[in-house]
Formats: sequence, C-alpha cells, structure tokens
Amino acid sequence: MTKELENLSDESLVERVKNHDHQAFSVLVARHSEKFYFSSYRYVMNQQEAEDIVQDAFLKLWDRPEIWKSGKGAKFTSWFYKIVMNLSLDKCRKYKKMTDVDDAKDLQVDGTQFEDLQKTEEQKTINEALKALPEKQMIALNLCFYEEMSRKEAAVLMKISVKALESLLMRGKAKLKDELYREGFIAEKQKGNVG
Amino acid sequence: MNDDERLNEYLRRRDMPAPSSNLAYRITQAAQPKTKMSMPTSWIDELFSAFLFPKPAYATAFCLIVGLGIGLYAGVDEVQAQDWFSFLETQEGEWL
Repeated sequence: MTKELENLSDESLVERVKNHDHQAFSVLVARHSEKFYFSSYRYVMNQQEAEDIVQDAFLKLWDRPEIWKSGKGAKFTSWFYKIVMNLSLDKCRKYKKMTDVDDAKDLQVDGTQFEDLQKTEEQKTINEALKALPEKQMIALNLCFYEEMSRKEAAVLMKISVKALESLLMRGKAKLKDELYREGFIAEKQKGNVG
Repeated sequence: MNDDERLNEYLRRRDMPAPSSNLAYRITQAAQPKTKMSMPTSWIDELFSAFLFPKPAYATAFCLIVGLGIGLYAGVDEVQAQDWFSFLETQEGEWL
C-alpha cells in the first residue's frame, strides 16, 4: 500500500489527505519535511524553530486539507513553500529573531584549526548579512538562489513583476557584498567592481 | 574570480545544520492523535461503544419498563398491607 502511495504525485497524495488518509500524509511528510526544513531555516536561522515551523505547516495541512485547491496546474511544493515561508516570516517578525543566529558552531573553537575558525566567522558573517537584508530582498535571494526557482516563478510567488524581482536581487546582492567587504571577505579591489 | 562569483560561492558554502533525524516521524506522530480526536472521546461514548447499543436511549427505557414490570408483578402477592404500615412507620414510632 505504502509502495503504491510512494509512486503517487504530491497533488494526488494531498487529495488523499483530504479523505484523512494518514498513510498518504506520512508519505508526503517523508518526501518533503527535510526540504522545507531548509527552506524555513534560511529565514529563521534556528534549527529548533525551523523544525517547529515545518511541523506546524504540515499539521495545518492535516487539520484543514481543504485549504489546498487543486486544478489550474497548481503545484503542491510551490503552494506549501508559501505556507512555510509565511510561517517563517511571521516568526521572524513576531520575535524579532532576525538577530538570534543559530551560532552554536561559534563555540567549536579548538584553538588550532584556523581554517575552521575562519569558516565559522565566514558563516556568521553571511548569516548576519542575510538577516540584515530587508525582508523582500531576502525572500528574492532565497527563492532564486537556494530554491532554484526561475525569475518568473519567484516573481509570481512574490506577486511582483520580474523587473521588480531583479531589482530586489541586485540590491540584495550589493548589500551582501558591502557587508562581506566590510568584514574583509571581499578585497577592496573586487569591491570596486560591484555593480 | 569576480565578486559576483565570490558572493555566490559564499552563499553556496553557507552551512545549515541538518534537521533532527526523526523530524518526519515526529510530524506524522503529531498528526496521529488528531485522527482520534475526531472520534468520540468522552467516557460515556466509550462506554456505549463498548456495549454496542444500537439505540442507547431506547435500551435504557426498555430496561426501566422491564424492571418496573417485574417489580410490580413480584409485589402483587407478597406485599401485605401490614408490611406497608411498618414500612411507613418511622423509627421513632411516629406515623409519617
């Protein structure tokens, strides 16, 4: 039975979830929980919160599967990404967690591994620079860079034009470069090339 | 490597902790009790479902009527008038 379910598309599985098919729900969760965990993590930057958000999103679907409207070529992953993203952004806004980076790795200083230390610094800088970005710029970067969505897909999800999205991406990247330059990860000469 | 490529490289190398290994299981389990929540959960419901009464109200009324009938039938011959008097008399010896 599960084998049969595993061959079904996401959209067919959600249709089964509408009939309270717990097995179909389990297959959907197993298939996507990790992917959406990373999606959420890119916003909240905290492991526990990202896991809780993914759980909340899936339980929302389980409790009210009728919120999924099939048809018109609707894609489950895009639709569900939006739920996860909204929950993540809500969390960021509510608790102003944008400054609370999950930086447990900062403590892993063995004293000798300079490379590790440098990498940790680099990670921290990147995370903080991303968190300091305006919300829309961060969303645009996450969608186009990490979620590997096309410009058009991302623009549709954000309900903006492709031009506006490109502008957000450009400004976001410029800000990130500025930050990396300030922290010494990009040399001055290279910084001069930022366009 | 120009700055754009360097930035992409930094973004790609961004470290993210893996989720707990039991995340999917946890979510599935959290949804499990909710299935049961939609079922009758009060102890009265559970009691009735254990006895499988098709119509609990009718079954209760039927038992009461049968009990009353048996009681009346048994009392016709055995209850004497003086039994009634002694029954109605209080312990102090007064009439009610």
